[in-house]
Amino acid sequence: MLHVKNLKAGYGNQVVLEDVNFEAQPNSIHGILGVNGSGKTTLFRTLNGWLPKQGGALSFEGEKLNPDHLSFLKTKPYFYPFMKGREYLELLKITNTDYVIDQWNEIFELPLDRMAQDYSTGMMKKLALLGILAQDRPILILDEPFSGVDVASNEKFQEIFSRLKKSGKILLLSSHLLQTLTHICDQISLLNNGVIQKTYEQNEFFQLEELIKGEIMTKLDAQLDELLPNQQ
Amino acid sequence: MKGLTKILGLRVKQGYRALTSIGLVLIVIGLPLIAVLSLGIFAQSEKGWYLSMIFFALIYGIHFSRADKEHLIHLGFMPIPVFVLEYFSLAVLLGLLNLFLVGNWMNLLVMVGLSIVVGVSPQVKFESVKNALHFPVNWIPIKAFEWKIGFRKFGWLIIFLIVMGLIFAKHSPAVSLVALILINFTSTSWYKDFEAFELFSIFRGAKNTLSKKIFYQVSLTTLVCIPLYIAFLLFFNDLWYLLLLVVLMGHLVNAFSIFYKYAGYHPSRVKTESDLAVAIFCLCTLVPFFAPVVLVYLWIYFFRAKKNIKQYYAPC
Repeated sequence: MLHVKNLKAGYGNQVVLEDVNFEAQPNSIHGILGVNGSGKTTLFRTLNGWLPKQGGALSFEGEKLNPDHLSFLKTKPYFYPFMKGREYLELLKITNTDYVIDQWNEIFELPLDRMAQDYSTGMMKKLALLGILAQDRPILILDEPFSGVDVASNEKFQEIFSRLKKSGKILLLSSHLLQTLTHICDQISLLNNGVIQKTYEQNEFFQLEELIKGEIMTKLDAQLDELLPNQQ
Repeated sequence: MKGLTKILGLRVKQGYRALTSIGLVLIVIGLPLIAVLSLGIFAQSEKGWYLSMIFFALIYGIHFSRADKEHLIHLGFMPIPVFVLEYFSLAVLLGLLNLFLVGNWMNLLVMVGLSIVVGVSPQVKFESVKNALHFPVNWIPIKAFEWKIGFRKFGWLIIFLIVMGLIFAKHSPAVSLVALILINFTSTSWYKDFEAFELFSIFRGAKNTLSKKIFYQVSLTTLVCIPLYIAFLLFFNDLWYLLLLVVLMGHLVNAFSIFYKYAGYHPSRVKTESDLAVAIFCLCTLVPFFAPVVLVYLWIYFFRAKKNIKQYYAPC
């Protein structure tokens, strides 16, 4: 189990995450929901060790969390210049000899012998996903995995995530689309201003939808009444 | 005028970033030593021709690794005149200094000529040719990915240097040595791009990362340069110690560029802050007088790299 306890993190003197607490079980997909700037990416970077935490504790299966436990799919994947897709995957499969590049690539049919830098946004996302699958780590952090991918690939991504969950992995996933999260997640933590306000179980997702829609619609109605008054 | 101010501002910023990355102590110690070294070069080399060689190596390295062409176009400048003007200014500065100290006006003309030749060298065409004719790199192990990518980009150039070095090897011992120096200086540029964190983490730890990188660098350089070593020893075996020095210098320069890369590595950045530190290190290795500076630089950046890598492997 992944434990995040009283996590405090930020950039220099700027504190972004105040007091983040949640747990994620194996065989589960844990969603992180929050508006832009709520601290999702900071949370993921801290879990991944890119940002030093300023307080709290992170553990996995009773030991301190370390980079070998995690794979991280960034919102905008970055690839080494002039590196081919196949070379990228060959490097990542060094620790996982069971991974067969061409077999996995049959799902997305990427032109692996082309430079990754020349791929479209969606293709880069798919290559990055194949990369984290090649790493075969117990925790997968997926920051906006569906952004930039086409409808068919979106479905494939969801199915892959669902299978990974069944194979015992922990998936931490963020998305701007609430429906995507409610569709595939087992729990969703609502992150607001650097604090997890509440973690919702599947049977409470309707509350989350009502809360989000209620909050947004009340505010939006008031704003639009002023900006676009009804003339009829 | 506005664009010119922007370029100058940009260059000043680059210089400042480079200086801050080197560290105040090294600047205070390093820069006076470089001044002493420069005067030493003039005094030792006949009519200062050595300076032309260093100048050529310097602008050659800058020209083929610079990536500001698009930015210059964005500012409304034609890149080639800017490149020529920058190299020309540097040539005039060094040429006049040489003229003042040694009185060799021909050296000034040679440097100005070199600055124009390098400046107008078709960088764009070179890029497209590189893309179309990438050098085959299947023989390079995947873990040495900097070499794989570097050779893909600069393989033909390296082969050209080796062939030139072999053809003219018997005429002068300097030919093979200069070819070796240029090959080693070229390979330092392969360590300026940062890899994404998932690739960085495959080496599992600071000790392993640095030792593996240096192992691949030394063994692949040796493999590629063997023909030049043999040619040199065939014609000038009495000067074997010069070859040894150049080989050692090449390995030190590349070890430094590896340390420099990992001293500044951050998963959110894509490149090292500046090439200036590596360039200064390269210049320092060219003169034995600077051996202590070279060793101090290596030592400091080795520990900085080790410390920086370690923090990413530390349990949270």
